[in-house]
Amino acid sequence: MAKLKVLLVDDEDDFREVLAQRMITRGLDVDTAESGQRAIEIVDDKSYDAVILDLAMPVMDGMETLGELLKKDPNLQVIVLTGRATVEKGVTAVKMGAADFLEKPAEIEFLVKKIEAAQAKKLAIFEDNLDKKISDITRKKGW
Amino acid sequence: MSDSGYDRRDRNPADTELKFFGAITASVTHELNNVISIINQVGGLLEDLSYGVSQGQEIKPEQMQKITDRISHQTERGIGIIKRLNTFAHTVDEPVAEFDICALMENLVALSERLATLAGVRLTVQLGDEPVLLTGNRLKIQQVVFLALKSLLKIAAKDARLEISVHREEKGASINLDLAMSEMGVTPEVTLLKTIVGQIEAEMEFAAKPDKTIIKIILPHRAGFADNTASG
Repeated sequence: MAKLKVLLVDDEDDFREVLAQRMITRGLDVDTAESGQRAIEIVDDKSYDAVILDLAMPVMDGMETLGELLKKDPNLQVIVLTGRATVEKGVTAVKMGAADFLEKPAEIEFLVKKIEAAQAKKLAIFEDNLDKKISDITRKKGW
Repeated sequence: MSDSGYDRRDRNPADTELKFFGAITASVTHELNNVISIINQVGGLLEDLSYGVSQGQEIKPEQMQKITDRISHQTERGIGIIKRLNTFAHTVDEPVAEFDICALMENLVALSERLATLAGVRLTVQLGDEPVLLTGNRLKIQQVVFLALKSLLKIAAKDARLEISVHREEKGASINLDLAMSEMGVTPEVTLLKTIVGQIEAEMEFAAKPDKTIIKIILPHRAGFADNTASG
């Protein structure tokens, strides 16, 4: 079975590196980005099952990054990480198109489950789009 | 609400003081939550490694060293945050006290660093070698400087530098907030700042030049004694 591909975006070096290491131990294929700007550059070159995105980052914060990521791919599954008192920002992010949100500190097992759910949703969207394309083709051909 | 985070209709100084206190506490505890999140993950990593050992895997000494270093670094960071917040909290112990304005500003700048970083601004503080003693209301004075700082952060360009310096003056002391690189043509919100400066019987000078924006707050030897009543 293909490994889950994840992009982890957080400006806190220790948090990013340790969480990435723990996800790799659990069999995930993990890339990291230290800023929103870097994350946007990375997703241009590679496809991910989920992006884990910290909301509080310098210069280009998580909300702005989320907006830019979804402009590039509206079906991108983004799970945002919020601080304890900023849960309402997580809700706003979901309304903007994020797949889900989690409060920091996030338990790894719970996070992995969210990533798996994001992958399932991504596959469902892919299959749905494929079905539509097939229907279009068969209709045009009169089959 | 104005860009500096205060509602222009805020006329009760007590309300604005509470907002200031809340803004500092919110920012600092957010940073503290980051520290705890990292320590939580490192704890989880140790559990993962421990499980690995039980399954016959080896742990390299350098792996353990890196983990130890992270714990030390974050613990030190957390202790620093708590000390600064504690120092700040104690500035309301007495409405009037003799204090060193340099030490007060050094702590306030450290507490404000996260906000500056989020705005993409490098915040530095320049202090003399000698203490500069004033008598007054430490909370109000910090509130004024914080408001000036936030006003400048709002207009700062990315990668700007904001230097806060303290100078002894004949009248008392001055605090200069010097922003190099602001957004073109944008001036900071100073109307409310001027009002609150007046409430602590200080003076304010403001200069907007092509390459920098400067706010100078001049504190008398006895500052921050204005009555705690609504203005206007």
